[in-house]
Order: sequence, then C-alpha cells, then structure tokens
Amino acid sequence: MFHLTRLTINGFRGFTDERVFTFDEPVVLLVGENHRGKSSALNAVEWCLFGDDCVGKKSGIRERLDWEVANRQAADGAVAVEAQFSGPDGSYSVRRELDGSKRRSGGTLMVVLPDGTRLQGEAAAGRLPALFRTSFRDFMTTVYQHQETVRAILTNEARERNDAIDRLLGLSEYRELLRGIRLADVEKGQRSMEGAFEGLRIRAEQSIRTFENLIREEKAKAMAQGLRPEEITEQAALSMAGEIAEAIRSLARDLEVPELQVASPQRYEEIETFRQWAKDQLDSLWAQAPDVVRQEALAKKQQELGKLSGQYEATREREAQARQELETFIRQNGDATALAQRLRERKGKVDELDTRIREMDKRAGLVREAVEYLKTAAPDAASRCPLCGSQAPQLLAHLESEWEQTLSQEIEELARQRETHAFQIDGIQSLRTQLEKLEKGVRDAASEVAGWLGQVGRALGREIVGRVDDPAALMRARLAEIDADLERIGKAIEQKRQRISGSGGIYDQLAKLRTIDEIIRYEQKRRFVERIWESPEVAQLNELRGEAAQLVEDVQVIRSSLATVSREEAQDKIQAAGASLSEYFRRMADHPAISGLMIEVTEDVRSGLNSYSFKTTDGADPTPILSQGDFNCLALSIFLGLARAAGEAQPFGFLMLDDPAQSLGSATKRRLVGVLEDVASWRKVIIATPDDELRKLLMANVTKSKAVYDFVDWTEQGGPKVVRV
Amino acid sequence: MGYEQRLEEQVRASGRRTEERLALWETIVSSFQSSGAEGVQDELAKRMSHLRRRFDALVVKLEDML
Repeated sequence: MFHLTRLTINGFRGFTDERVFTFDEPVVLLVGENHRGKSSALNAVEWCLFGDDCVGKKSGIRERLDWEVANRQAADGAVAVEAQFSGPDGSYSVRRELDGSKRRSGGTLMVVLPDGTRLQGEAAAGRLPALFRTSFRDFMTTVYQHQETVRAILTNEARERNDAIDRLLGLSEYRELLRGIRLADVEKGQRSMEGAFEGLRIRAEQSIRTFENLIREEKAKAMAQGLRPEEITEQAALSMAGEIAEAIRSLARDLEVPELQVASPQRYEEIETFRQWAKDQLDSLWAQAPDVVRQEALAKKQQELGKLSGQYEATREREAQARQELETFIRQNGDATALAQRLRERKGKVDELDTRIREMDKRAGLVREAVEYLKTAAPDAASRCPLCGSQAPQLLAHLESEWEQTLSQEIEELARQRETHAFQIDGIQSLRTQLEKLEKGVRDAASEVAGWLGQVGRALGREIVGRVDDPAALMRARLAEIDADLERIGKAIEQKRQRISGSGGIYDQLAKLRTIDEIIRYEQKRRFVERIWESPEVAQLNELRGEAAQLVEDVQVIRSSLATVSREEAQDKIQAAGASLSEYFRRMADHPAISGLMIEVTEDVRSGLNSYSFKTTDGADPTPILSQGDFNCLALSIFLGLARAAGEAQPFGFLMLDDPAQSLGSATKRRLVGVLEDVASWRKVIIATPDDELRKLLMANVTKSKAVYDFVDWTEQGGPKVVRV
Repeated sequence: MGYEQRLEEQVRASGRRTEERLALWETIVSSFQSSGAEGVQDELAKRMSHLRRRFDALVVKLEDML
C-alpha cells in the first residue's frame, strides 16, 4: 500500500505561495472556515496523480467544468504539486507541474522511484498507472470522497440522486457516455431520412397519377379530333409532320412566295421544334402574300379617304352656313351700301337739328337777358320796351311766358329729336360691324374649302381644279372602286385562308400533331418516373438508408451495452460494499424506522441510466422518510463500504473526506465520529471540515493520534495561511 | 477493468458486426475522452449528418428528375 506522507503545493488553485503538509499521523485534520483552501489541498493530491483526468468534462464532476488549475496571483503563473508516498519498496515522489502559459490543462510529470530512478514526461505518465493501479474513477470511489459528490446526493430529485449515486460508485463515465448518445439522437436523424424517402415516393406516385390523368385527357381530345389509336405513334407523327410540310409548301406556291424553305422532321425529337416552326412560318407566309399585302393597302386607303371625305364635307357645310347667314342679314338689314346711305341721312338730320338748337339757344339767351333787365329795372322802366322805349305794360309777363311756354318747349323737342337720330346712328354702326364679321366668315370658310383641295388631290393622286372638279364626288367614286377591289380580293384570300384555318386545314393538322406529341411525351415521362426506382440514384439512396439504420442499430447496441455494464458494475460494487454499507448507515443515521439499508439498481427503460431504489432490511421503501442528513449518511456509507470492501487490494492506504458532516445534526456527527474511529483502524484518514463541532468531536473521541492543520485565513495575494496545531 | 474493456466484451457478446461496433465504440471513447458527453454527441451527429448530406443531395437530384 502507498501512504501519503508529504504534500507540497505551489501555485495550485487558491495557493499562491508554497505550502507543505506532512501526513505523519493516522488522522490528519484540515480545519477552518470555508474558502480557505482545505478542499484545494485535497484536490492537489488528485491533480498530482491524475492531471487532466480530474479537470473539466473528463472528470465527470459538473463543478469542474470551468475549473482553473493555476493560481491567478502566482508570480509566473506556474503550478507545482509534489506528493510523496511511502510504499512497499521505499519512498516515491510524484511531481506535476504546469507552466505559466496554461491555466487549466496540460503539464509535465516526474516520478522518482525508491532507487532514485527519475522518470519524466511520457515515461512517467506510463509508469504511474502501473505503479498505483488506480484510475481516477476508482480513486473517487474508494480514496477521495468529494464534497461535491455528497452535496449532489442531498436533493429531492430522483434523477439527480441517481446521478449522484452513480458518481459515488464511480460510474459517472457511463452516465456521461449515455447522455452524449441520447443527445445525439441518431434515431431522429434516421426518422427524418425515412420521412424524406417516403415524401419522394409519394411525389413519384403523384407524378405518375398526374401523367396518367394528362394522358387520359389528351386521348379524349384525340378521339374528338378523329384520331385513331394506331395514329398515336412516333411514326404516325412523323408522317403527319411530312404532310403538313407539303401543305405549307403548296400554300406558299399559291400565295406566290415560292422561295420559302420547308423541311420535314426526320426524327421524333424534332417534332416539337417543327410544330413551332410551322406555326411561325404560316404567320410569316400570310404576311408576305401579295393579295394580303394588297388587301391591307386598300383597307388603309379606304380608311384615309373616308376620313378625308368626312372632313371635306364638314368644311363645305360650314361655308354654306356662313353664306346663308350673310344673305339673311342683308335681306333684313340691307347691304353695306344701303347701310351707308342710311347713316349719311341720319347724320344730316342730326346736323340740321344741331343748327336749329343753336338758333333757339340764341333767342332764349336774349329773352333771359331781357327778363333779368326788366326784373331789376325801375317799375316805370319795366313797362317800356328796352329797345324802342314804347309803352309795353305786360312786357315782362309776356317775356316770361314766352320763355317758359314756347322757347323751352321747342328746345326740348329739338333735343329729343336729336337724341333719337343719334340712337339710330349707333344702331346702323352696329349693323355695319355685324355685316363685316359675316362677310369675313364667308371668306374664311371658302378659304378652308380651298385648302382641302390639295389634300384631296394628294389622296387621289391627281390635281383638283377649283370650280371645275368636285372633290367630294371624286372621293366617293374612288371609295366605290376600293370597295369593289376589296370584295374581289377578300374572296380570293378567304379560299386560301380556309386551307390554313378551315376545317381540315393546316392548323387542324397541327393541332392533331400537338395532341399526338403530348400523349407520347406524357407516356415517356410516366415511364421514366416508373423506372426511377431502378435508377442508380435510388439504389444509392437505399444504401444510405441502410447505413443510417445500421448506425442506429450499432448505437443502440452500444447504448444498451453501456446500460448493462453500468448496471452490472453498480450491482457488483453495491454487493461488495454490502454489509458494511448497511452497517455504517445504521450506525450513522440511527433511524428509528430503518434497521438496515439495501440499495437496488435497475435500468431506466427510457434513458438506459441506472435507477437506484432503497429498501430496508424488511423490504420497505424508506425514501419518503429519509432526511438530508440520512442521505449524507448514505453517501458516506457507500464510500466507506466500498473502501472497506476494497481491503488490502486498494493500493492507497489512506482515505480523504471533504466536509463529511454536511446536513448532519450533533448526534449524527457523534455517530459519524464513532464510525471514523473504526475506519481509522484500517486506513489513514484525512478529513477536511469547516465544522467546528465535528472538529471537537474528532479531537475528543478519535483515539488515534492526530495532526491538525488550521487554515486560519486566506488572501488573494498570499493564499491560505496555515498553521499546524 | 475500465469501462472501455467492459463494453468491448459486451459488444463482442452481441455477435453481429463486432468489428464495426468496436470501431464505433473506439470513436465514441476517443470523443468522450477529449470532449465529454458533448464530444460523443458531436461525433455521432457528424456521422449521421454526413449520411444525411449525401442522402439529401440524392433526394434533390431525384426530385428534379421528377
């Protein structure tokens, strides 16, 4: 057996400076508050012996996924742990180092044998397992009980507890392997492939059904077109294509387009191209035919002349209307000469009236002056004539009467007459203006009519002489000629058109050829789809399906094997731990309802993982009445039971327990100490604990001599401060 | 005996495709030792994915033909 005698730690996890621990007593306690490096000291032994196996995913300990090995504050970042063992042949030393560039994994190993032989690197790595004959997994189950493992079992979730017990039994790797296989879910990948294959098969079937429907439809069409079944062959199609080609050639000759080149298809594959070519050629042929060209030209001329005639007639009508309006005006109001004459007369009258008005105004002026004089003269002078001085007693009254009754009335009458004549003059002026406008309108309309003569002449291709030729009659005559030409040409063209689009014409033949072509092509495609299952691609597809199915089966066998092996190993270990396990549990838990405990392991059918159940010695299920402390006792019992069962076969002569008193009450701690007293009789015991009560109980009740390392403090710069008590 | 050896015995006992299954097991172990459960998942997923890629390419080709 190998006994740990000395441990030197430098730069490992929380350890900044070098610390040395000697294990020179049967019981060694590492005590102190949490986070002071006690667990790290135990981890250092583990890392020294197993390196990367106890770090990260490979360890199977979830808490170690982001584990850092190197202390962050260490000067050069380097790590060095050296463990010395006393063994059968003397002293052995194992030293593992990690240089400053690596924080988590890697490192160099050195082993020194009792005879002084130094092994390094690969040689050391190869010698170590042979020397200690213990894997990391075995170390975890029979030498070092991690506090993480104990913590993990303190859960109410059955799945997590099963996981924790697997770890206790060193079966984490099986669990993780099964987890990885389950996550890969290769069955899902296979199902997906089968689904895709089935989709392809359905698509092919649908495709065949679609083609069958299309063939049925086309065959019905063929029957309606008068095609017989024996005509629906490639040979018949080529023959029909030849006939169509000949019909087109003949039509081209009749349409006077002899230079058209027509080639019949020689192979069936050319039919589709020929069909499209034939249709294009017919369109082109028709467009080039002289009769058709002439017909289009005549129709165009007809349209041109029709429009021109309409516009010319409209212009003529406007001219006639303008003349009519002028004549009506002249009849009603006289022509320009008559209007001028009337205007002169009226003006003469006005002049005459103006003269008389002036004369009357003079007389009126004299009378007004006389009246004024007489009104202001002496009474005696007022009755005499101011000119001759004769007596005229009523002169003023007579003059006033003359002014008021005669003169003013006469002047008013003259003014009224003048106004009447002036008004008439305005009326005549207005009529003269209207007359001028009407005469201009007639001139404009005549000019417009004259302007059309040129256009009509160009349209008819001859000169139109005004006042000699009648453009409207000429256009009507030409239109009649065009109508006659169009009728004649139309009849001739219609006969030829019938050869193309009439019943039995070339279009009919082309339609039949299309139907035959469609049927044959659909039948070819259907056959192709039906034969697709014989293609190399489908053969490869089936091969791949086979490979996938094989992969799934192989993985299932491996998974099943893993489950079986994991379960069998669990059963073996539990059986080996057996009586010790039950006894330790009974002593530690001291449960009033549980006199002993058995563990059974079965396979969880869904996951393949181990499923653990507990039974008391009388067959009851104690799980509902197990407390957190009871589960801790169970974890300890399994560990101690397995360690006991290993006996002298276990290479290491020491056990390491990290925080074993989790969730234990005082009485249970005392019982634990009692058990550890027994354990110390067959193994050196190293215990790390923050629990002061446990410490005191161990000091007081364990009879073996003890070494105590008190982790009094921890700082980031200095690491743990440890004092050996 | 480590889990590798135990499982090898189990696989041999299954009788069929022993060599292939042992080779697969060896690959699984190697993936596990380098990257844990996720490594196993990735390795198996990669194998299935490789089959699936070739399968899908053929399906696409056949669908085009249809």
